[in-house]
Amino acid sequence: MKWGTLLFGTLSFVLVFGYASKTMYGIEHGGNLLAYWHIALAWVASAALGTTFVGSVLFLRYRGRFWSRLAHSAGELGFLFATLTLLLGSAWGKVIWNSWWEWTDVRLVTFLIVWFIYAGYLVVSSATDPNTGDRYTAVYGVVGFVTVPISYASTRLWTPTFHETTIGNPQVSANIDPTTLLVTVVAATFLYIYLLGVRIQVHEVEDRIRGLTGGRR
Amino acid sequence: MEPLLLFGYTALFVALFGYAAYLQRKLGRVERRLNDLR
Repeated sequence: MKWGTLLFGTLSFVLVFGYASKTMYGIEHGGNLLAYWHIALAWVASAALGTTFVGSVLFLRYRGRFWSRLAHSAGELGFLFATLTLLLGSAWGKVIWNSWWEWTDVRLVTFLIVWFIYAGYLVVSSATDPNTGDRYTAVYGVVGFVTVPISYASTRLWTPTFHETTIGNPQVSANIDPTTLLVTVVAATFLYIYLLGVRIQVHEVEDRIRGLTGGRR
Repeated sequence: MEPLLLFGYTALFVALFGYAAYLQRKLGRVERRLNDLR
């Protein structure tokens, strides 16, 4: 995973800075190149929050500690990726909309709600005892996930002001290079899986320590 | 390079490499603690 991340990450930056066009939506600006990692991060954030949902459901069903570790690790990563998505999206928005933030845009507002929901997930998780409180965190992980598909579908459910539906919409020509985007999405996915593996490992060792010390950290 | 582009990718690098380094350090620390306890 580490080498896959390095390989595809390097390839992604070569393509973003050496091949992809700086013109998007008819505006020529270097800041448009932020779009590739903004979209890739939004994808891995959704994948991570989806993993939290699946891990939480499986924990509630089977009670294995592994599912709880998976759900929490993915939730932490999902929050990090969602934060970076907002940051890069805001900078890109300044280029194409001439605005850092637009409260009238449904995608922005619903994604911010997702961000707050998962900030809350991390707070609930850190505030509960790992041996007894995992159930509360898992229920939160299941219920909170409802916001993710709503945010994804928001541009189809309500009239978008800035974020237009690009997939399957011939009227929008964002001029995003598909090869560069695909390589960047693969790089971000490799990175996500690598970080998820390390985070789960940390949880496992912490659990073993807790087992040896009788619950003390 | 445009300041916005520089800001965006710098933030990305700092956050991702910072988090990866933090996780590796934390893993090393808890593994040492586990070995000490054994």
